[in-house]
Amino acid sequence: MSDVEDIINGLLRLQDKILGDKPVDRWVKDRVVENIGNVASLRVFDEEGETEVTLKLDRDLRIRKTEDKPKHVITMHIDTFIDLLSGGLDFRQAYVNGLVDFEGENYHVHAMMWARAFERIRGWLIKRKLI
Amino acid sequence: MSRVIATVSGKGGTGKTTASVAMARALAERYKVGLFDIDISGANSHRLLNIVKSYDVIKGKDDMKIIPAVAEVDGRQIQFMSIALVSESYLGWKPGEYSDFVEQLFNSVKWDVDFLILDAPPGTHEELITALKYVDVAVLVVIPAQLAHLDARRTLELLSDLEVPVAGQYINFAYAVCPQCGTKIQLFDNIDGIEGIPVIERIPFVRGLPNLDVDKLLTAINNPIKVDMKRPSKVKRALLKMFLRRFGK
Repeated sequence: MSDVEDIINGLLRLQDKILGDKPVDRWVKDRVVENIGNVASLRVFDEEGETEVTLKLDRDLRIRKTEDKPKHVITMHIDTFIDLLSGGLDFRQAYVNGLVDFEGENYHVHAMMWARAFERIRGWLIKRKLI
Repeated sequence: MSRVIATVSGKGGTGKTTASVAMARALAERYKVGLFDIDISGANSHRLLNIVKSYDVIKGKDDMKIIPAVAEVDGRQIQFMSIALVSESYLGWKPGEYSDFVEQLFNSVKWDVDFLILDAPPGTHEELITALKYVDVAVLVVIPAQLAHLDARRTLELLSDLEVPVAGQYINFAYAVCPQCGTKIQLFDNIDGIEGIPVIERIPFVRGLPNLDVDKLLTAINNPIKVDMKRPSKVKRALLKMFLRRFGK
């Protein structure tokens, strides 16, 4: 298992915090509910190759790995991925700077939705001095 | 059905953004107005507005839809969209992503307006060409300088080729008024606007937003002209070449 997969598995275990009965942000949970069934692939690459993980948002609001065809593909370098996760890089800036590459139908609209979601979650994390 | 007005000029620094916001403010006196900053890599119109509510993204019938931000200028509300609402950092997108942004937002933003003003980028880049297919009428912003006219003519050629009618031109920085003696001072070359394009107003150099006459703007929007700057067709060019071969020497 690659480091990227390892990190994603860790994130999947943290879902309750974001999507549980007491979500950190109602707006984010509402958007998640609206996107049930969506499938997206995350491609993270470094100098040696890339790791691709495809994730699906199921009816029970759990994100799980899937073999389904993705609606969107999000590609980024491992450094960008780590910087985003560690809070060193703001998703909104990564999006406009082209550090995160999107493919798929209406990808800018979805990216702008994720930008709003990251903005809100980042605000929550900063408020609690977690990043 | 809202009418889409593009503010264009060709050259940078002519005051398109200022004119766009001033037009939005003038029209907002009587109508519901939207402003979409399609100068994606140089988006700055938000800095002339007071953003009171950011954009939102919600589930639409088929896909996600964007509810535009709400901005205020001098107490008048304007619906607003710009990439700068996401980040003011530089744009590092690949070619094609700029036109995708314009195209996708045109189809996803739920504007509830009578007039939608597009603050266009300088030049004739992909985002402008993409946006022009949605445009009902263009408003030209020129400064009285030869270089600006050269760039404006390029834009007029594009409008002509895409058959976008032109409402007229604002001649920006047309003059300045000496604060001490009131004398009008010519700031650039001793020329006016682009010949053949109706002048909506000559705007003096002022601090802040100029006050535009909404009636003059509406008259121009309602009486656009068709700009014909088409180059000769292949047939005409062939006949011209034949003529020159026979009689030109």
